[in-house]
Amino acid sequence: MRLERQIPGAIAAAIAVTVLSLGTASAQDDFPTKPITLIIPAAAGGSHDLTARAVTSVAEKYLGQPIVVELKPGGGGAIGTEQVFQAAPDGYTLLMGGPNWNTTLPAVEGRSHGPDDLAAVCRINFSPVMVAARLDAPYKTFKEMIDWAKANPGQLVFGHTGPWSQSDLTWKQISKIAGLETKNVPHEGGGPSTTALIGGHIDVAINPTTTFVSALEAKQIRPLAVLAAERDPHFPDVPTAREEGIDVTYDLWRGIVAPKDTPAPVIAKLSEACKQMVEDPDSVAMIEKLGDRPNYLSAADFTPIWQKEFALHKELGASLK
Amino acid sequence: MENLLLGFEVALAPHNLLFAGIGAVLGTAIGVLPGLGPPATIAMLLPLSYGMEPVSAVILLAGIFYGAMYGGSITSILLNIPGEAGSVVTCLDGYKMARQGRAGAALGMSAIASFIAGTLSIVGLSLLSPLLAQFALRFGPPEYFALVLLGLYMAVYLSQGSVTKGLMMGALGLLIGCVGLDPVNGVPRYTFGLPRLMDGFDFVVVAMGLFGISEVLSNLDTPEQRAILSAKITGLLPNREDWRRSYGAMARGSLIGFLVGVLPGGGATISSFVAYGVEKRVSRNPEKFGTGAIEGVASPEAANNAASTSSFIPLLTLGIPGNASIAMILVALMIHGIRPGPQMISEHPDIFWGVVASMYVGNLMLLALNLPLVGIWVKLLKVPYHYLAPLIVVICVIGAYSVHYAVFDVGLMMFFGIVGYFMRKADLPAAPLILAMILGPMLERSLQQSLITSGGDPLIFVRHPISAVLLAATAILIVLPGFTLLRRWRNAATAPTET
Repeated sequence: MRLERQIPGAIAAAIAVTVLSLGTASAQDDFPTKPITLIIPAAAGGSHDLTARAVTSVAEKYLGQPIVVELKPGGGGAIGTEQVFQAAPDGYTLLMGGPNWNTTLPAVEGRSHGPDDLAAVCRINFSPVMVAARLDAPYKTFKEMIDWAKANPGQLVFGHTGPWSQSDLTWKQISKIAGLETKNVPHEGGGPSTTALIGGHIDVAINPTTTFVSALEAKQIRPLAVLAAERDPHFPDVPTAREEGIDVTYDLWRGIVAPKDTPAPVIAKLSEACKQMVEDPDSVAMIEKLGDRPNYLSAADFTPIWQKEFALHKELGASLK
Repeated sequence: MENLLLGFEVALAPHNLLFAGIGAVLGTAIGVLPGLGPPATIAMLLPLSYGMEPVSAVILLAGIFYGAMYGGSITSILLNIPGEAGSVVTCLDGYKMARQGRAGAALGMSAIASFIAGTLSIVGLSLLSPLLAQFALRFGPPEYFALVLLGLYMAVYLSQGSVTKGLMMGALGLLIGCVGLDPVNGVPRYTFGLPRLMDGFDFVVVAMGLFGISEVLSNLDTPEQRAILSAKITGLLPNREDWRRSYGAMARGSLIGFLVGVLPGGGATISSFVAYGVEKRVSRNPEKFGTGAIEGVASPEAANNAASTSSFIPLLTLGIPGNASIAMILVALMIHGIRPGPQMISEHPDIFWGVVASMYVGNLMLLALNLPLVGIWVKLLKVPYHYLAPLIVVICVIGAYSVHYAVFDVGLMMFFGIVGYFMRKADLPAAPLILAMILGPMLERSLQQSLITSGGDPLIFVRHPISAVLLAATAILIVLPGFTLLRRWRNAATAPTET
């Protein structure tokens, strides 16, 4: 009953939007003329939600129009992504993108949408991912951990955060390169796997450094390596896995993506405004308080990185399943 | 002790009192409107707290958290709509009391039990925090498995009437809990290819269907008796007899809630019906439970409030958020440059003790706020049912929609409403279904984690002392009813005058 009444309204709205966008081809120049919706396909209060709120809080200053944040969680990000995928490509409906729902899920399972179906607007930042061990583990470095796991096949208990999560994917990569055989225990998220690591119920876990940070500061867990191209400036003493001989990297990025056919001038305008928003002192301050750093990349710079990541995950999905 | 005094100094500062009050009022409001739970509300208010002192921010957000716990019981008692997982059990006797014209007593006792439990829990928290945090860390997968199994037994046991029907509904609940991606390999189960079902069913959607909507439907069955209130309202506050019956229930509920609530992930939910189950077990007339027994309100309400207090312990002493609401409070602290952890008590004593004291103040405020409101809430029941019924449906629709902002969930809730209607006709209890549905995924996850860790060896459950004790307790509880029945039968034979 409720639905039926909504459908004509929705059709009318769709027609109105189409007519408007046809009638004002030149309107691209004065884009945006109305508030923009940014869909967050994740739960309230997660790092994507908080980062989005930090950055969009200053949108009006640079775009002349506000960006309204709308939560559409579910399906591991697939539901919000689908909505943006099907939205009118006019730049007024955008998606808060992330590697879980815009790279791994489409590459490995064919759900949700990746760089083939969506257009990048910008990358806001990324969190480096870290390998850590419980404090009383017999190994003190990443190399020692690899050697120990090789010498004791099937003994090391690794805690990940669900099938094809960043921790599962990267650990499978490490295991494949080093030839490890371990027990892989699933957890509901980074918080529970960190708790299990502190309690000594698992031996090794992988999480964004921001998840580990208070346990690291309290010396409840031992950092082994960062899975990034460079060391994390917050933890300059922790080597990268690449330095330790295992070339695995993963950037837990946060960015803005748009429907595939969004006109190039609109993307360019948004991408430029995003740079100003990300680098605004207010949003920088908030991002830093969340434990991250702003790390802007334009649409042109980010697209090839995203495509490369997608190709890699596709290959990993096929070889690690 | 002097630390706690420092805390009260912070918490009683006028502006902090104001924030605690705002938090409590807001929390009660969102508790009354189910769906938009405390985590989402706290997330929305987070930007507001940027400009505040850290301790004020936490006081405000914590106020929302435990205010919502209380607000959830208001709708449970008045309208049979459990807004929080912790208040499902409150529906069982609370709503029955409301129908008997004793909504005032139920609401009053719920506020009082919450306050007393909160007070006891805060004393425990200030004395035992570091110790309990270590205890929580000892809880690994086998321990959780044993606890959840015990909880599951309680879930079946707390249902009124036929044990077979309780077991059937428990099993159905476990099946419903299986819907979604399996936790080990991510294989979709019972999703029919619908992305919406990949996350499984949300508790709020199922509970509001089975409880709230089905209640409205079955009330429409009997046109002559379309009032929640069939009896005259008798007293707005608990009477002396209510008090007498509730002392023990409150004490036991507080203790169970406090201990189980320390465990991250689901502790608060499990505690409410473990407390109810225990109360029914120790009661001299367990058959009264589910028909409007005041102990059945006092004990789960005490437990869920004690648990919401003690769930702060892992956060404040280890930096571990035990549930989604507490995780948001952690974010609020981080935004102010404070990372809770083992050093929190020594580095930021004003915040630690300020928050502890503010919980106490917040509890007092909730009591002061809610006791006078009891009269107004009870009057709500005098509203003719043809106005009240649409209101209940509207609350449920808003609640279901605001879980994922999806119309799909509203349809799903209506579906469960119809299922619940037929379950009532067949006299099948809804509570075991709901609780098994909440516990099922926890049970599966901890079982899988335990067995992966042990390499498939089931003896891991016996080798861990805590889990062995919990499993033994469950086994005893399963065997015991036979003996109790026997004894009761014999007592009845020797003393037939006793009722």
